[in-house]
Amino acid sequence: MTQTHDDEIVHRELNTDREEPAVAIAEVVADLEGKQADELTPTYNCIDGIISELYSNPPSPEAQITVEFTYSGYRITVEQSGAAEFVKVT
Amino acid sequence: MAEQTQSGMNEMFDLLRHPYRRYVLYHLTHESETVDFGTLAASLANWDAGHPEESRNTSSATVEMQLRHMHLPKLADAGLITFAQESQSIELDGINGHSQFIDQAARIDGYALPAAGE
Repeated sequence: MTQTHDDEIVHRELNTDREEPAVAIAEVVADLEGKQADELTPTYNCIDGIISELYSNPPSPEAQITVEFTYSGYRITVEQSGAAEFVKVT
Repeated sequence: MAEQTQSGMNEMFDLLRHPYRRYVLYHLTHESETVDFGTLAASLANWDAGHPEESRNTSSATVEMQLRHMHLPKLADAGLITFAQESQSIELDGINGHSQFIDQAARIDGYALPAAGE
């Protein structure tokens, strides 16, 4: 049984001080896809500022909030710490 | 003209919460109702770079990304603007009678145009 790497998890660290981390998500996906970020659907249409809210009004560290969503063919998990995982699902 | 409702005001304050959206709305209501995306982004980046409060060190490329992914879609969703992808132009659709908040904020943000005669 051969091990495929189609479900490879890509790890990135988001800059939580950055103005709009939702834009950073688009940039990572664009980078992984070899596309320009403005070729992708605006992240607002998908996640509506949820990520920005997570970092601009961070809950207490004990909360350990994780946000998971699908965007542009990637299943993406974003942690309160800024750690993010990207798994291609299409 | 939409009447000023409480939920309309709630929505307007949510939209005005980000300085970039305030800048876009002010530009569209005072400078010109239709503007080219590149022109608006450059103007915004220019103002942002000179902003005394928070030195964001924002390049115009970053400003463009943020407008495209966050702020313009949000304003379009609220029915305030139309962003025509083909012509890359932004047009004001209306501000639901809330220009007073935009004007007030503009004075604090520091780009309110001087009144005629000043």
